[in-house]
Amino acid sequence: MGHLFYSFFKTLVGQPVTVELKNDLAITGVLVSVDQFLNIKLDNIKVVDEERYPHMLAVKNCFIRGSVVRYVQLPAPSVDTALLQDAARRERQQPATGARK
Amino acid sequence: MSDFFGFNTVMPGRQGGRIALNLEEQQELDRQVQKYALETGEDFEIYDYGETYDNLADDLEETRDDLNDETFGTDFDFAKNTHQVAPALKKEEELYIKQSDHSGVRRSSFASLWENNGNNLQGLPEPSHAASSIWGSFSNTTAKGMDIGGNGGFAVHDPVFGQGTFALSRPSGFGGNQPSLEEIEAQLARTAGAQPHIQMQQERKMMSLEEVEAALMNINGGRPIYSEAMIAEQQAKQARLEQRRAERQAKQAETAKHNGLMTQSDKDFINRIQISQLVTDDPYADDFYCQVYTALRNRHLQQMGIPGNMMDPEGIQGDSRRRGGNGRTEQRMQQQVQRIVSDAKRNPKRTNVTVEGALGKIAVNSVLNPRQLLQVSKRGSYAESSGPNSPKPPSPGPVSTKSHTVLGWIENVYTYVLALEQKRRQQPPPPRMGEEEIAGEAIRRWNEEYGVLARKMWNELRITVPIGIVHPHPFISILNYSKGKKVIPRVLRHLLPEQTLTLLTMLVANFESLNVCKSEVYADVQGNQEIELFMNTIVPPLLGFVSEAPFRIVVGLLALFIERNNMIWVARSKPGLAFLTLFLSRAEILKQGQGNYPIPEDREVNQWNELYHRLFNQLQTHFSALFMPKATMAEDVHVWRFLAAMAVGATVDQQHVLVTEVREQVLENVIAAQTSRLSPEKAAQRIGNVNLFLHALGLDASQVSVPAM
Repeated sequence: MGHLFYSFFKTLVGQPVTVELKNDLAITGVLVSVDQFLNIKLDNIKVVDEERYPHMLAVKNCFIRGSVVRYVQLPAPSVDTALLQDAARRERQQPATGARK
Repeated sequence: MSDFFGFNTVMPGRQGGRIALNLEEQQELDRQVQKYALETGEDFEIYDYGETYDNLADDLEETRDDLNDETFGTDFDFAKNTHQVAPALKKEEELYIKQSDHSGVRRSSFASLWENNGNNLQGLPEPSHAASSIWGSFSNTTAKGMDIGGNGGFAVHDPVFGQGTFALSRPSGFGGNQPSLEEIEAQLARTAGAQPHIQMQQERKMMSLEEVEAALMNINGGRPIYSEAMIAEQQAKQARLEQRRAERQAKQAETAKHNGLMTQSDKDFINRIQISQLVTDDPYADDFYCQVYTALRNRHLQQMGIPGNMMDPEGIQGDSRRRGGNGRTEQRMQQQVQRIVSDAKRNPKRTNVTVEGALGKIAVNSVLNPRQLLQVSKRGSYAESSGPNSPKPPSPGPVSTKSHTVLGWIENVYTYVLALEQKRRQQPPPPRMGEEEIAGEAIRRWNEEYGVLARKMWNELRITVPIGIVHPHPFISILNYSKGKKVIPRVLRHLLPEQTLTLLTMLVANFESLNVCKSEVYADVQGNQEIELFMNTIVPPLLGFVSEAPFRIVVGLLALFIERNNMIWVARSKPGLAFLTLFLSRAEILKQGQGNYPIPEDREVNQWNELYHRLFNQLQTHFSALFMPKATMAEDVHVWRFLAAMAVGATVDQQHVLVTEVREQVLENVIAAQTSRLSPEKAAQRIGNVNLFLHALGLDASQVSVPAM
């Protein structure tokens, strides 16, 4: 599954996203890059609940380790859901290298 | 630096160089200062800038003052004003010097400033001693920066500075240029009249900045002197800092011997190994979404007239791939990476690949195939139907239409559609000169594979399952899911014309079992969405097919339609009406000899007329019921279109029947449009709808006379 998400997020580079972390922090920013571990780099960030996290006010960009992400809110017009379904189907039907034991 | 923002900063006492004061004079000076301090109530300290000033201000930027006029206005010339006042100031200074006998010549200008401004300053809140503790932690440099300010007339009276800046006016009175701290303290103590502490302080050899500060605070506030704890704390802090620095240096020294151990190519190699996890030899397989999304986006942009290369799939690859520098290096790197990838793929059994030279092992399963956390045991039936290698031909026997079964069929259809689309992308190029044989072989093989996939897809659609075994027909069951509707346009691209006809025939024959034909689906939002989907996905491609079909086919389809469905029921649905309209209008076109076909034979025309009468008779007395009860204007255009198609082929009697039956709807629309209850656009739309029908009869809405109510 890793590659589908990676492939998907690549198309969202430059789009505004909101990343919700497992510690309930939610950060909105422009997606700068994503890697195969779904680590995320954001620019022009803004914490959703600034009153609760005032220490984040001064932070302008960030790197988020993929494992701490709970949700990513996406801009709907930038997502081709039909294509995403197809991509999921493709990924299911062609097991990657060494998948089957 | 001769001026400071236009102020003359040359101190009078400095012009003649240093003036050596003897001990008596110094004592006298001190006395004067003390007196002044008592008079003004200020902590007046004396600073020797000559000793401490490090020419820091020489670095100040003197140019770029061309905007000064804008900033300060042209009506005030600082330099000139200062210049004018200068004689007066000088005079004042001289006066003061005379007044105070031997008072510090070098300080006189400073002191006179105080004299002049003393009253004002006294009125101001005194920069508190608390402030001094803040400044106390400043480094020497900062303190010197403040000195510059003081030089220009800024009243610096904060008693605490770094050791370097803290100097008394006596240049060499107690031996050595810099008076010791003890002297300073003694001096300060005397100034504030705090004699009792002097002895103790003098016994201390080394005093930190904080100690001095504490001492000063005590002197000024008359409180007990600094605590031992503070000193201890300070020393501990110093020690910690010292230790940390030493540790850091040691670590750096430790690692320094490894510097340059790896060459740039070594680093590149490791980079490549890491990147190899991202690079794929088949972008459509491993990077499907990104590739297709970009392609679609580019096509869309091109349609809008924007060059499509704005979004290059390579451009939004992982940025690590971009970093490779120029194109050739990148290409070479990619080749090497591909070699690594294929090497890794050659050993699919292993989950770890140790590439020679790599730091550690590369887990093959981390990216392409992450470690499975859930092990779901597949039950036989599911695995059979889902595996692409085990296509199960649809059994002609009893077919279940349980939802998960149907959804399974749909997914299989998708699987083959995706495979076919992939095949299309890999279509071999047309043979070049001299290579016909090789290319021909490739094309033949491609056609074969494509044909196999298309057949599998066709089977999965279950169109050929005989009617009547299961209800609804399996194909209709597929169409009853929105997923199933959506796949149809993509399926049709891979079908042969005969297959498309079979599909259409099967659809027409079972039309009334479609869920979009049920009248209750119009009640809820989801139902309406399904209808919209049907109208957008299935109708257009089949309309395209029918609009090229010969008369014989159209007759056959309408016959089947009327034969196998309840027309009243079907005609009440938007899709049903759409298909009826489609057949009627196509037949009319062909009857008139248009559409690249010869005028049909009389026998066929008679057959058609018979069909038409049957349809008309079935729908008679129901024409007005075709309108939706709560229809808004946009929604009944399809009804008017159908009525128009009926009207064209109708006899005079039938036309009369039609007009009589829908007279009310015609009137309603015309009245609504005329009474201006509606916006002009809506009114025009309503008239337009009515005219669709009336024009087919040779009439127009303007001829309709609205009866008085």
